[in-house]
Amino acid sequence: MTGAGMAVSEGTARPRRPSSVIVGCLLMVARAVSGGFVIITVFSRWEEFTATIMLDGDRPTSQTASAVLGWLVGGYGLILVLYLGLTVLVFRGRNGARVLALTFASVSILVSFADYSLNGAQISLRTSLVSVTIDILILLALSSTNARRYARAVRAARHDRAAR
Amino acid sequence: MPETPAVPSGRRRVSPGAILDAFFFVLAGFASVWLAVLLATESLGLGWGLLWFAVLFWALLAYLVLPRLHRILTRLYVPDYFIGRTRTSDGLLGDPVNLAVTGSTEQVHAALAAAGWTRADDVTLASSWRIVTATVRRRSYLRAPVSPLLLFDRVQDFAYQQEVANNPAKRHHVRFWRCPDGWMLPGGHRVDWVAAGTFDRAVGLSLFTLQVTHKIDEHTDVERDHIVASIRHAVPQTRLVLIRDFATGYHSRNGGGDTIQTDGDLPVIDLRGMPVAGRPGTPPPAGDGVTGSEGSVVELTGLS
Repeated sequence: MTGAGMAVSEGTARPRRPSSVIVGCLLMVARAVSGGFVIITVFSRWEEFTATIMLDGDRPTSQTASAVLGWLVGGYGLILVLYLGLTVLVFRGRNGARVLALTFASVSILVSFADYSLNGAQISLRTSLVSVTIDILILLALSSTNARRYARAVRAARHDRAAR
Repeated sequence: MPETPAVPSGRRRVSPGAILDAFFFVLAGFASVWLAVLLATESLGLGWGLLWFAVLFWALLAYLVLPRLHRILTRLYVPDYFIGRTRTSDGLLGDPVNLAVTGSTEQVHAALAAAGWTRADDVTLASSWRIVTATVRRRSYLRAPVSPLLLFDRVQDFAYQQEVANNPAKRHHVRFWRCPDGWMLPGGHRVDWVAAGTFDRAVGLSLFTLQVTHKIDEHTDVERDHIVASIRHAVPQTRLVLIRDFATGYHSRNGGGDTIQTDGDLPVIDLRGMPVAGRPGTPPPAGDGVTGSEGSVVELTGLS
């Protein structure tokens, strides 16, 4: 017997969203929100942050530094927005989006783990423990059998509708 | 000599998506172990915060790390075909299958309702929260949900229960699975439903996952006989086929680590003769050898 999933047998009805997907998406939102806080922090202390920017070993003019920081923050913001878009797709049961979200979480975890085991980086509450925790929880939630079956069932339901 | 069916051809084809999923599944298992280590390390630096972290650590271990490790390992070594045992959602061997029923869905529901059983709510956030508060406050919750157990690779179709002494910690309960079409019990008996009935005697921690769960009474045969007796009492048309030594008698543990023992007999409750909603029951076809008249008990024993 394979894990074909009970939801598929329900035909074209939209399968019920399991809690693992809901929790996984909430965690993804939390990840994006924590990124949003970083942006707010940068905006609130703009002068301090521009002062730390170095280009080719030199300190640029404050205007250039502002522009560079603006681009960095803007780029990061765009990534966060795209990540939220990905969250919506995961929530709606897109398997590709789920695999992409899993890949992001895995890469982030593996990079942290490499840093931890090879460079002896401290992972504590003051550093990156919270974000590592969120990534691992996302990985656990979205890789669960329920989440997998849900994505497959949604796809099957979609193909079913398309075929009719 | 009957023709033997062809041997299943070769290995199952595995799709790249399935391999990727398996990779993420196992990686998440390892990552969760690492997270447990990180939390334990972090907690050492906290004074009174240690207590708060200990709870967090237990929750992580019990609800994420251990279930995932069990899932990975049991997938490798616990058989996925019918061996007369259900499996927990973590893949561990669960309560024994100790009942079978022949009859329509309506007949099963009607018979259980008549016998004083209450259908359990589905597990949702709301019903889970309610069973926690009811247990803590010792308030009655007649329709308390039961945990999911798997058979035929799916969760039970429905479950029934009888609360004891208005205490949600103690209850009779039985889960039902509809058998796949054309499926037969080992030995070639055709039934419509199989069921697993056990008695919850208290709330405690699972031995394997450390999760909060119901502990079941060791004597599963007593519960099985209680279910059969209650239905036979309420539905006089019930026929009973008792398959003696369906399994060897055994002592084992269920998915929560509670000891269980059984004599291995399997009663098959035949409800086909029961009238439901104005429709008369259909007596089983004559000549299948083991039916008998209404209310009768037929025992099937081995050859020797």
